[in-house]
Amino acid sequence: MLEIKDLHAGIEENEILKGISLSVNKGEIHAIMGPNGSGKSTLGNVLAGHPSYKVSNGSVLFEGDDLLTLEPEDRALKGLFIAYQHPVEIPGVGNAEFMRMAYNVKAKKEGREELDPLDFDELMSRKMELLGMDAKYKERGVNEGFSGGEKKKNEILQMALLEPKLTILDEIDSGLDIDALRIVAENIQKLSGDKNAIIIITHFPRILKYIKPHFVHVLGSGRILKSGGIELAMELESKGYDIIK
Amino acid sequence: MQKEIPVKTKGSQAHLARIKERFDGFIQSGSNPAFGEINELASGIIKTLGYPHRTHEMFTFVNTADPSLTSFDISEQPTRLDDDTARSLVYTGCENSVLFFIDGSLDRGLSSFYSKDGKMSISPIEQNQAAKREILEKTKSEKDIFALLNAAFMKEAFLLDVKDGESTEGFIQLIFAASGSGESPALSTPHILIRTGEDTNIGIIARFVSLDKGAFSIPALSISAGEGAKIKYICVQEGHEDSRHIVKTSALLSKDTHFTCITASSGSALVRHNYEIHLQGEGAETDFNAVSILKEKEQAHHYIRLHHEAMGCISRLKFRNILNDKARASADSTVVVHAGANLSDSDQVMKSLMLSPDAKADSKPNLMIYADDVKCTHGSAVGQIDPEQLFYLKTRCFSQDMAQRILTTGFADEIIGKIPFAPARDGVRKMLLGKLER
Repeated sequence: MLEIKDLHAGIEENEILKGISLSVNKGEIHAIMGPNGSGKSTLGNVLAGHPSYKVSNGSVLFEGDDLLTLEPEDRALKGLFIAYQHPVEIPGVGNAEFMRMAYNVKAKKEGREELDPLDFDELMSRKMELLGMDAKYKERGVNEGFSGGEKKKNEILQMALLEPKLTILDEIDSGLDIDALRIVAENIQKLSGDKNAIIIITHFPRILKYIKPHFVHVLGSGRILKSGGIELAMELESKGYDIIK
Repeated sequence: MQKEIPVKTKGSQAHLARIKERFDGFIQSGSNPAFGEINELASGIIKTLGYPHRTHEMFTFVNTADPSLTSFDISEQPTRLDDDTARSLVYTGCENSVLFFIDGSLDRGLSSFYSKDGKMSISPIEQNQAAKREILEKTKSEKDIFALLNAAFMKEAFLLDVKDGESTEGFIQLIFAASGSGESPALSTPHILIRTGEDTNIGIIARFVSLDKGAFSIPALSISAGEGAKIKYICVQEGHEDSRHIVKTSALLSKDTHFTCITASSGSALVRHNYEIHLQGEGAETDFNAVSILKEKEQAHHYIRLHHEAMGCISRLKFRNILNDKARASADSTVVVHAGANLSDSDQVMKSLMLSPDAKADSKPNLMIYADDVKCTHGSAVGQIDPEQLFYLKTRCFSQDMAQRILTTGFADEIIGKIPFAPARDGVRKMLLGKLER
């Protein structure tokens, strides 16, 4: 599904990714771990198409197409979704209406039926209930005044509604208490399947107790320094990032 | 501090001369003797204060040099509004509580006002000495030249009186239509006193419409709220692009009153809202909001002076402007916390979204604090669409155009969405957000 080859990218004059190569297939869950400054979030932003980051070398194929030539909205329409660590607030744009519009743009592109506000409300309510989200968040501005945990849940709610092929979760566990983490992780696990793939970017192994990755990659200084299975995450938990130094 | 006005500039003298010429003609034929004392007082104060220019603190961002501001005609008879036009101006649900003021005069034929138990009334104040004294006293301390012009050329004035305890579910709609037929701008000077008793709960919509090119409307509204009153005031400005609308609204708020004010402006050659709000009683609150969406050469200016005069009062002021082409907007707002007004809590936020490099927005939030133990904040921002918000929306499948439209609409809807009366909210959305479609 995703084929990254020797990706070099950075911001302004600063090269952050120094040759990342990674393959992600349908049905797989990959964890990308690493210390602060290793390039984890940069990888997520480059794949999503953030304009601040420039690719200087390498290639990325998504479903056989060159991802790097696509605009962010086209990447999203192709099925790429990124859940942000610190999602922006958008006051004045109703949360429910925003999600309905996004759902309908994707549905139209895929030739599916668009939903009117009533039908969408029913769908959204079901998904919110699974996430333990209060209905009051429907009418609030997008992420406006949400706590950190509620913002993360709102990202997963969007994931549940847009049903992406490839989801990148950028530190989805940061700022979540034990119960919120469990709910978020359970929902992510339910959304994963053999037709899609997930990349979990995280500092800490704790979320991996709930979402079992097939592969764990450790980033350091902009490169994948070590790859393995879940046992690598456990080794990191007991020994820390010294194992890659 | 107000700068002294040099009265001897050529421009200001020419303005004063035009005002005097028109005033003399007005007094000879066209004035109402019942308001003679007010007319003369106001005219005298104009002469003393002189005509303001751009260095005048009150008009920093407004081009008062425009000759059309003092080259007006005074219409002897108000224009007649046809039934279809009149009906189109009434919001659904206000059909039985609507008052039409055409060129400042109450049109009883078009108006419909019913108070079930007589606790609300609308009456002319020609013979109401107490109300006239109130206007006279207000005029004595008035510094705004256009509010003074309203008083100088006032022919009619009305009192909307709401008795203690009265509560309305719906909204009373006041429609101020100004016509502009003729060679010169046609002056319209509606003057309304709104008096609400204790523990009233009332909604008022003031819809100002400039019907034609050349309409020049300088309304004055005074709201006084009894203890515990809750007033929701919606002000909508719209009309011909070549019209001028300069309104002064003052509010005196007693103990534990709550005044929600939402002003929505479509702009024109010149629109200026002057709000003077006094939180006079302990625990009084005001939630003030102003939104405008402007294009081409439209202008909308807000001048606010809000006074905390008692303990424990709360004020929230929020401004949102969206400007395209060569539009101009300003928000000049000062919150004064007077001595003794301890435990005051005030916040002002001004934001302008610029869709064109030729548009201009000025923001001037001020605080003057003379009391202890207060919490007062202010902030302003002028800029373009937030790139991070734009990117976020694009990662949710929205195209650049659609994402921009969502963000600009949402920016204005932060205030439009607060309008507590659905027909007016929908009407304002259509009026303002329709301007974003190009």
